[in-house]
This record gives sequence, structure tokens and C-alpha cells, in this order.
Amino acid sequence: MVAKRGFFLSALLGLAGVLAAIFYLRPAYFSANTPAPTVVDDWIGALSGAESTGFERPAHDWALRLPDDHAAHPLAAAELWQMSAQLQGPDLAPMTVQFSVLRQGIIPPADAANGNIWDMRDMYRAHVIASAQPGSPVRGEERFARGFAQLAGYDNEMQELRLDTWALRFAQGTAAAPWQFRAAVDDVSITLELVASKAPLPLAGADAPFQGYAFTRLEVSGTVATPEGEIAVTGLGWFEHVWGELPLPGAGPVISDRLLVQLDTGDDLVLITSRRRDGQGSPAVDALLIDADGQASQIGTQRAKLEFLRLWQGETGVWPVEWQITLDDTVTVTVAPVFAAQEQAFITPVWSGLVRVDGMVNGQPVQGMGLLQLAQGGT
Amino acid sequence: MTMPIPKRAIGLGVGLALAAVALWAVFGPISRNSSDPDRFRSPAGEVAPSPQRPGDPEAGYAALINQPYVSCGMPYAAYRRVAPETNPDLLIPGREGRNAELPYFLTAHVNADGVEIVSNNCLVCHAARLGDEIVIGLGDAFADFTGDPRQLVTQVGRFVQTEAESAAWTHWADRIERIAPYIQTRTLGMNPATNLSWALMAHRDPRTMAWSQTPLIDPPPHDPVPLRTPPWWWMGKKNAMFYTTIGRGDHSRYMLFASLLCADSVAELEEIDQFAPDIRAYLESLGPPAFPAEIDDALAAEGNRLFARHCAACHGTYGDEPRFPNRVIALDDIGTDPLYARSMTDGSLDRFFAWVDRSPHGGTVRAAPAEGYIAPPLDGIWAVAPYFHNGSVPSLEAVLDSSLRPEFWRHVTPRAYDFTALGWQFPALPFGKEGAATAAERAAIYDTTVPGYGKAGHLYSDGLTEAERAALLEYLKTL
Repeated sequence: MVAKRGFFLSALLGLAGVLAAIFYLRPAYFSANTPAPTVVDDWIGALSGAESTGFERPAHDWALRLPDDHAAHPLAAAELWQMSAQLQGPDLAPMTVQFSVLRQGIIPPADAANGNIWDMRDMYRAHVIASAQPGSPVRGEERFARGFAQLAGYDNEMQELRLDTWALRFAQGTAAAPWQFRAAVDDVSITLELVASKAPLPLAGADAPFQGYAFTRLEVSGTVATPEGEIAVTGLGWFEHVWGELPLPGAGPVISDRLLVQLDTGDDLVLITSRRRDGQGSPAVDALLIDADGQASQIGTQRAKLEFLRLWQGETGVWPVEWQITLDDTVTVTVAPVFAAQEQAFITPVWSGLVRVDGMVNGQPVQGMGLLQLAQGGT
Repeated sequence: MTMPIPKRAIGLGVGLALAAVALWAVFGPISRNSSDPDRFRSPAGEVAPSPQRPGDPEAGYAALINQPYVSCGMPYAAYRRVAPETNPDLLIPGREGRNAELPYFLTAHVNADGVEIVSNNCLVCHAARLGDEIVIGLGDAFADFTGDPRQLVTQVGRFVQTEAESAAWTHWADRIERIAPYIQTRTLGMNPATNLSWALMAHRDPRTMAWSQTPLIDPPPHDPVPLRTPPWWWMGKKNAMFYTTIGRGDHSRYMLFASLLCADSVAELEEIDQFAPDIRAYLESLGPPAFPAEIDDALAAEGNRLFARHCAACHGTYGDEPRFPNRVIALDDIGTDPLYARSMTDGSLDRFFAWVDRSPHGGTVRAAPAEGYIAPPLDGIWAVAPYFHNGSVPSLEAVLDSSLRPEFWRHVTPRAYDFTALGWQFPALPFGKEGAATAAERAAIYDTTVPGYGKAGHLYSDGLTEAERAALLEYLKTL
């Protein structure tokens, strides 16, 4: 049990660490004593000192209930939904679609009950990243909105997560029914259907300050349309949803990167590295392998070796886009970008892109595709 | 139900250091003459007493559980994000302010930047659960120092916010980063505090206590010699601290080295020194827990007679007029695993003993180990399994009969006490660490073939009859 608990804690801490690290905006529920930020670019510092009293940590006796848990958990201070898909067009060239929505609670529900309906109770931040067509540069856009019915947030009646015109609608009726995603970024319109091919993996630990679940493999099909025309795409998707007290990236001394890989063996691999922003110290590594049946196991990281094989200079920084990873005797893989220019100059810049994976896992040769998310300061 | 962050987890990083409260050397009326070739050695045989500063045990307890003698740690806010609630079973009486709501092995204070810090205290190693009670002074036989503490430090760091919190976390993380390579034991229950002390000294100027990110003298070997944490209630009887009697002189100052993780100035050490004699007085006031099951008085009386004949010369006498001989038994005589005593006396660690000499406490403490092990007092011996300095023997029954000592074994989980053999229940295993399938399993196995973990020696009672050993065992329950 100890090992199991450790596994979930590591998984959770790692997961949220990176999920949130990738894009976290924490507008704030300022206490009376908390000074408002006076310098625009120091807003993270100001927000990091803000109180978040009034929100509740997730219940420890929680058990995953779907579709209910797809919805927002307003008692939690923060919440993150994130979907990604690695796709192929007719010419089999790889493409990516990524959708992320962060809810930051500002006024706790108990206080909101006595407040003005125009109060900003939740702040939403979302982004979409998408390939316009195979081989072309990715498009990315981030948006912010206050929580508001049919504008930003989770619509319980429609079972739909949305911000403006970006929307992910979860299965209506049977669990086997497809989820539907639609979004447009720049001149690219995406319409996808996603069907889970593995059971959801609950992410809960008694010690963890948040909880949630992950669908590590979904079958995806749909279309990507541009002014030049529309192409059909198919591939695999990944979805996560966590809520609770999430780390506040940008405010603390530790940054994290995350790698999500779907292997041709049917296994899925999550690897999270965390290290000091100042470049000192030893990185920490957490890794999980989810087998074809959806059973998760922690991979030992007693002898973890991460080597950056290639650094890429982007507009906002230098990014380690190619890795060699060795974890004990279990994992030896090389991770290389499908193409290097997958940087997004969001408020918190990121490199979030499609990668190819090649190597050995548990003594078996593997290949796969996945998503590498690098936090700023990744070098 | 919410569980606290595991003691193992928090413990590690922060404080090993602390735990050790005492790890090592001492001085008595010390010679600071560096030309004296024997200044870092003590002979086997009787250990002479050293004068100790008086202290107030009651004030000492309050200081032990409330004072921030380890002054760096994780920001409280980040700690609470990771561990929102405290298991009530981990609370102990007498704690003040924030400490009253923290597990017994953590202490809070506000640093100079106004950041509330949570640090390990001495109890992370020197207190343990026995039945329903947290027994202060009992070395934790299940403490897990086999992992890399940097993992925990980084995990906590994910939840750190604000510049001031980040600065406090970084200060702590820097220290853990430097000592982590030296404090990872191979086996559960083993305490790396000795190696920790050497590692900390390697990074400090002994005159000023200033910290250096790079070692100022050669650091110790990475692999800590396996050591079992001895109980505090023996301190009142012992004239020198630790198994090799390395800690000579003012014991309370020797204990101050537990603060080396964070104390960055002589002034900070001097502050701690103000209440250190009180803590020592408290430790010396401690008594052992009573054996919690029935004792056959007649059999114990027979055991007492055997003890007087076969054991008392080294381990002393008990009862109304106790006497403790304070005798170091040479390696050739005791025959227990020699690695620890040899490594302390082969000259390979003398640079650290010299560091002690040059420290602000040089002249009042001295590091002078003997090439042997002190025959310890046996008060509460039933409670301090596993036995020998390296924890290689799981039960007192096996101490008295060497044929019962398993080559490979592990504790059962959850822990359960064996009131017959006197020790934590264990199965003998057909394989050692090499046969373990996972790192966790490997860490749980006591493998007496690993250097330093040997189970040999102390064969004095092998010649007794089974009935005589049973009587001795019954008597030991009464101590």
C-alpha cells in the first residue's frame, strides 16, 4: 500500500505540476491585506501572495463518477481540462490538436451566494494549438474570459466545456458515445470525435491536494479545414481533468516538463521532470506506464538519466526539444520533435508539440507519438 | 481519511540532520594540540566520565519540541498544500503555537524574511510508535532513509509561491542537494546521520560556520555505514556518545551538530547552545518503556542470576543500585561487524575529527572513537530491536543464540511485535538484496552478507543451555 500511495502521490504531484506549469493564470481572490499588483509583468508574483481561502480541498473519499466528474468542481480553487490529439492526414503526415482550459476560482461558492451576480467568480484561460495541414507551422491562440453561462465554463445541461467558440462536448447517454470537439484558430477549423479506448485512470491520493482522472488513449477522427480545403484526420487522443489546489507555475522555484506518449505496443507513457528554475540542483523524475488494459504502474526512477540531445532557439527562449531518456532498466527512449517550431508565445511561453519516440520499454522495442510540453526556462 | 505526508517523506530531506541529534564526537577536556597523534582515538576498555553542564529537563523538553534548532526547511504554506491535515496520532503534548498542530517530528518557526518554515526536529529519528504511543527517545526501526530526499524537495517546491517562500525553499534545497548523495541507506531502519554529519562539515568553515556550496574538505564516502539509532534513555549512563564512544566531552555541544544543516553562523550555534544543556538534561531524565506483557517473575529471577554471572561485567547491573561499567569492547573480543569501528579509526575520517577541533566547540568536545563498540546499557532493551549497532539481528532471542540469526530477513508489514522472541516479527528469506524484484523490496531486506551488515559476534551466550537463555530473555524484559 505504501508503494501504491507513493505512486499516486507522485503521479498527482507530477501531473498537476506540469499541467498547471504549462499555462497557469491565477487572477486571485485578493484578501483585504493583499496589495494589488502594480507592475504588469509582476502579476504572478502578486497573485502568488493572494489568499485562496474559502475553497475546499477535494474530498478524500472521492470515487470517480462519469460523466458527472467531467463537469466543473466549483468548490475547488483551480481546475484544468486538457485534451491533445496526435493525428494523421491523408498523406499520413503527423498533425497536432491541443485544447486546454483552466478555471481559477476567485470567489468561493459560499461567498458568491451573497454577492452580486455580476461578480467575477471564476476566471477562465484557454488555448488551442493546431496544425493547419501536415507539415505546416502550428497555429496557437490563448483566450481569457470570466465564467459565464454559454461563454466560458462547463455547461451541465449540454455536458460541454467551452470558451467562446471552442468547445468539447462529452458523451451524451452511453459512455461509448463519442465526445465532440470543435474549435477555430486563425484560419484553421477543427472538428473531432473522440472515443475512449481505455478506461479512465483515476488520479487520487490521500496526500494529494487535488484529484482527477485521465483518459490516456482515445480514438480520434474528424476534419481540419483551411481556406485551401478540408482534410480528414484520424489518430489518438489524450484527456486529463484535475481539480483542487494546483501548483502556481511562474511563481515558484520549480518548473516541470511533461511527456505523454502513446506507444505502438498499446502502452501509454507519462514522464514528468521537475527541476529548479535557477538551474541548480537535481531534477526529479516521475514516470507512469499505463498498459494496454489500462493498468498503471510507476516506473522506477532510481537511476534516471535525461539528456538533451538538441536545443532549439525560439522567439521566447531556448528549448530542449530532443531528449534521450533512461529510467532504471525499464525505459530507454529517444524523443525527437516532428518539427522544432512548436513554440507558443503565450503569456507564459511554452513549447508544446508533437514528438516521435523510439526505443525500448520493458525489454521490448517500441515506437510511438506523443506530446512534449516544455515550461519556460526549460534549459 | 486524510493521511499526513509520510514521516519518511518529510523526514528525509529536511532533517536527517537533525535527527541525528547527536551523532558524533565530543570533547572532553580536550587537547587542541594538533601534534598529538592520538587525539582522535580512544582506547578500548573503560570510558572516563566528562563533566556535563547542568540543565532543566522540563525546559529541555519544551526546547526539544518547540525550538527551531534546525532553521531551514520547507515553507509552511507549501507543506500544507502537500499535507493539509495532521493525523491526530502524530500529535504530542507540550507543543506551542503552530507546533501544536504539526506532527511530532516537525517544528515551525518564522524566518528573518517573515516566511513560516517547517523543519524536521530531532524526533524524526529519535521517536517511534510503540503500540498506541509515540515513545520519545526510541530510535525508529522503520524510518526509511533509502530514497533520494531531493525528490521530495522538488515535489514540495512545486507548491512554493512568492519570492520570499522561494528564497526559503531554495536555501533548504541547496543544503539537501549537497548532502543527498551521502545519506541514502541501503536498508530500512538504518540511520545515515553519521555520514550526514561528515557531509555537512565538508561544506562548512569550522571557524565561521559559513556554508560553501562546494566541499571545503573531502566529503565522506557516499554509502553510509549502517547504524541503528540507539535510544536516548541510555545517554544518562554513558560517559561518551555513540557506539564507538566517539562523542567525548560536553554532550550537549556534541548534540549541537544536529543543527549543522542550517546554522550559518557561530552566533546561531551560540543561541542554540543556550538551551542545549536543558535538552541534554531532558534526554538523561528519560526512562525506558515498561515491557507491555506478562513476565514470569520466577524465571526472570533465575535470569537475573545468570545475567549477573555472564553479562553484568560489561552491561552493568540494574535494580536499586545500578552500576554501568562504560566499557568499550575491542573488535577482536566482541566480534560484531567491524566496518563501522574500523572506518572510524583507520584515519579515513580524521579530517572531520579535526574539523570538530577547529569548530567553536573545539576544546569542549572531542571526536575520539575507539576501535570497538561500547557494551550498551540494557534498559528497555526489549524495545530497541533490531539489535547490534547495525540492526543485523532481528530479535533478542537471536542475540542470545547465534544459530537463530537469519542471513536474510525483513520485518513483517504492518509491524507486529513478537513478545516471545523480543523483537519485531520477521520472516527469514531465501534470498538477499540481489534477489529482490523491486527497489522497495530490496530496501526492506536485511542482508547480512552486505559489508557493514554482518550478524556475527557477541557469541557469549551460545554456550548456555536453551533453558538458561530463556531465563535470561525473561530477565531482559524487566529492564
